[in-house]
Amino acid sequence: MFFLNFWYFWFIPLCAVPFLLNLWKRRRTISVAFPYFSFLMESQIRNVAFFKILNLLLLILRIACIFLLIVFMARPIVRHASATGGAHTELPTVFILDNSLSMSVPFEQSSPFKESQVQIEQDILSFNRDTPCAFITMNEFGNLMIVESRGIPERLLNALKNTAPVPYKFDIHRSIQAADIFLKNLPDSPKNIFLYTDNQKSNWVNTDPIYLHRTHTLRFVSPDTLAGAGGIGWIGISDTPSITIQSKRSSINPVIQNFGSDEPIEYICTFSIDNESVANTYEKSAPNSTSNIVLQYKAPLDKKFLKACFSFNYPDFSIDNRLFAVIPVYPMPRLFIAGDDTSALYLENALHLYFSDSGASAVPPIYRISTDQAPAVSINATDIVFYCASAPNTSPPDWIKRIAANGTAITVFYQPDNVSVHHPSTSIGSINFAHPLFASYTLMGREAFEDITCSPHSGSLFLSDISQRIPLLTTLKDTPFMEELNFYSGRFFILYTDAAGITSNLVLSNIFLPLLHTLIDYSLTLSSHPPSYFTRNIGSKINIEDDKPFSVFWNQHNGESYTLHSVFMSGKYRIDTFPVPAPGFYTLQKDAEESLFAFNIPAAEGDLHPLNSSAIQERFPDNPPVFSLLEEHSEKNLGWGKLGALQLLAFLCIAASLLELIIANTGG
Amino acid sequence: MTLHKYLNPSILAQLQGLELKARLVVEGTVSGKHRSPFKGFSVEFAEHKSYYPGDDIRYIDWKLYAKTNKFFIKQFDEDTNLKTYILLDMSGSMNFGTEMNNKSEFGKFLTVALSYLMLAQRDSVGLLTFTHKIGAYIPPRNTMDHLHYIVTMLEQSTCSGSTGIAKALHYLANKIKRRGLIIIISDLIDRQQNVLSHLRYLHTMKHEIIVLHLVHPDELTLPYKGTVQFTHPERQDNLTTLPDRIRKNYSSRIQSFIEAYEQNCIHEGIDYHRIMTDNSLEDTVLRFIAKRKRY
Repeated sequence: MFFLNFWYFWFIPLCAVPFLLNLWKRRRTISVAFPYFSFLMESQIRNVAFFKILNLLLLILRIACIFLLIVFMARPIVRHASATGGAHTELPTVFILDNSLSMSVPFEQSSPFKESQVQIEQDILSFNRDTPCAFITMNEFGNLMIVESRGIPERLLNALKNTAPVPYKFDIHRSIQAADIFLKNLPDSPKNIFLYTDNQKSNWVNTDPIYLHRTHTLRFVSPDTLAGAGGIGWIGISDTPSITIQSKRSSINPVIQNFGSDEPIEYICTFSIDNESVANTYEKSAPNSTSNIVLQYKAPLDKKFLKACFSFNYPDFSIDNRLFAVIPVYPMPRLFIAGDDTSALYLENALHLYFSDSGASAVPPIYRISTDQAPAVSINATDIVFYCASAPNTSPPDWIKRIAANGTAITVFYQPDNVSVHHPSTSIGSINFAHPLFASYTLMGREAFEDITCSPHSGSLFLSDISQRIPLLTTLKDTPFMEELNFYSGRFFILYTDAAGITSNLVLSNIFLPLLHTLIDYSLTLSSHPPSYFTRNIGSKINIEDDKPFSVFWNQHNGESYTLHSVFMSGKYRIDTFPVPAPGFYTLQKDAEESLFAFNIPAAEGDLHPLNSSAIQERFPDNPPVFSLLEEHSEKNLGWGKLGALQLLAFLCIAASLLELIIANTGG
Repeated sequence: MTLHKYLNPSILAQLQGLELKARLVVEGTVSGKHRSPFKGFSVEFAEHKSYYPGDDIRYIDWKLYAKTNKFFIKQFDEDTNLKTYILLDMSGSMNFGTEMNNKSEFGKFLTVALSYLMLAQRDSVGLLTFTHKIGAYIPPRNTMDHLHYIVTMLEQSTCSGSTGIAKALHYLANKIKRRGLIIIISDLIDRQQNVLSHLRYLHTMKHEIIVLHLVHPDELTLPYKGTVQFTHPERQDNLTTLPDRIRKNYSSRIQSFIEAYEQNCIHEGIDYHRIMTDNSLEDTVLRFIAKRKRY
């Protein structure tokens, strides 16, 4: 048995109070010469010895009452013998509790934080008192603190009890390093680190792989409240003689975590320049999905780089939620309209008309060129080309292929060859709202395009070397009306209509110019373009990226390699991986360094094949690692726990008090 | 000085004008106060007093009327035959209570106050103090100087020994030749039947008997807390006990003891008064006189 509040035993001297009172009462016995002495003698039924015994019994009961009360307040813990039998319980262990605010999100009348507290308490209780243990969490100022047991596990329990969620990001990387340092000073024997976290991706971003030289078991525990959605980020491990990775409902998660709940994350991102808010957006990230933050703003013309600050209304960042970034500002693109027919003329006028009324701080230059002049015009990758193909054509001209391969975005207005020119006979059937071009129409739905009429076609491929075809608008007759085609590093946007409104009324509708604007903006943000291509000064939607994006290569055991891109998210960066089907060890290569990569996830889609157990053992022939699932905690391990002891003590205390009352009020 | 201790101005002011009225016919000759069976009994002239309607006209001084044209009543030194005997218990049990409500002190005050009243109405007062044996005895006199003797005697008396009420009554019965008023001031801690039988005997001798039973409030309530060592005031016995545990039992016993005295006295026609020593002396005497006036 040991006690959670051992310091209450400083009150033990209070037990002497009844004894002292008894002595004091004895010393102050008064003597009275009483006239009716004979009546007193007759009234005394019991003899003095009886009362002495009675007083002694009362004294013992009063002392027992105070003692039991003190023991009760000290919260005794009675450990079942079987609770100490576990092999792991003898190992030096560090408990790490992530107490960021995301751990306190309520879930089924509990929270990951509360569940973690309970589990850690049970773990500590199951340990021998002499087992070196430590507890790491954040204090109220967001700094990591480490509490060592030093033979008194109550220290850990008190620290655990006094821990509360704090509005800071939990630095798991540093906490594990701190745990490793603690374990360093212990004798050379197996050691454990138990990490309780909901494992937000933000805990892991921009962290190097962790090297654990002295840890033999690293257990990631996603609390039960995170069932089905908990995720372990990633961790690099190397130079470890033997290590066991245990996990429970944890995974490497390729998507934004929603605190383990099925509800979407809601946050507000504010973009400010020179401490002035210029844009903000409300973002809602659905569970298991990736969100890119999109802001609209106008950047000043006179700056090449913007020092910007992003603020997020997000639980883990409620105190310092700023993210400083440098956004490059580059010259505006040029718009080229290539074509000889009325479509090109119509398109040129439309663009001039649009930009004149757009209110933009600067209007990009618009050039109209004939198909004969076009090959001679110097068009670079930062420019945007509109190409009006008025006649059926199965192969684009060579200059188009050339600039497309160079990375230029080309929008083609293409009149199919087999349609009745003046008789549009169908309308838009489906819209790809997932595409950035039509994302803004999500709320309006198909109603935004219900007035659009178009002509179906049996269409031939415009290009034969396309690598990917993305349908954007499809007619009711299931023929494409707008497509995106990837052609080498360039991009084609094909509209199966002319720009004069003959085969479709799209260009005459009120959605055409906004669509054209969106098309221009999207063309600017294509990943195929170099960073110097981007411009922000015409005011539009952009994808925000930090100034130092990075990528790493994921090398599988079978030799296949995948590139992992950094993607901006609600914290800073995260590694955007693809789903991995099973737990295993992998190698992570970054900047010519290779490290071991361990994870465990539930089955998911993907084509990455993890290492199996034999492959893992091949990598550690001398001391093969062990992969095991975490054992379930249960109340039975506690045996006769603190609850039973407290109840018994409370019962004894009440019984002693009642007995004292009965004896004190009877007798004589 | 000593008399002032017992009869301070406030007590005197309260006692002035009050009269002790004997309920029985005594062998006195004084006019107005006591009806005497003896006629033409006269002694030495003392003084005149103004006549008030109701005064016996036989004692009007006609000579003085002839000189002054006013009626005066002649008064004599021995104008009554009522002899009052006050028996004051001075046993050890009377020495109970604090200075303010000590039973013996209260008894002494009561003795002096009653003596003053009796002497003020020209009655004779005598005093007998007793313990387990007879103490001092002062024969009855009716002069105010006699009060000084009584007070001096009381001052010299101390409480000690056991109580012997029967013995004192027996002694007094042998002393008294004529009927008189006997006032017993005591806590009556004695063998009850023995005391009652002697009281009954005196009563059959046509004496009027007034029993003033002095009771200290602590004797009724036993208000002590914790462990108390009780000692016998008249012997060497002691008892260590918890008053809380015997209070109920004791209270019933003491109540039955006192009530037995009261019932027996009433039954025998003896005037019984329970005097609580926590009351003021003035109140006690006034209440006593008022009660007596009803007869």
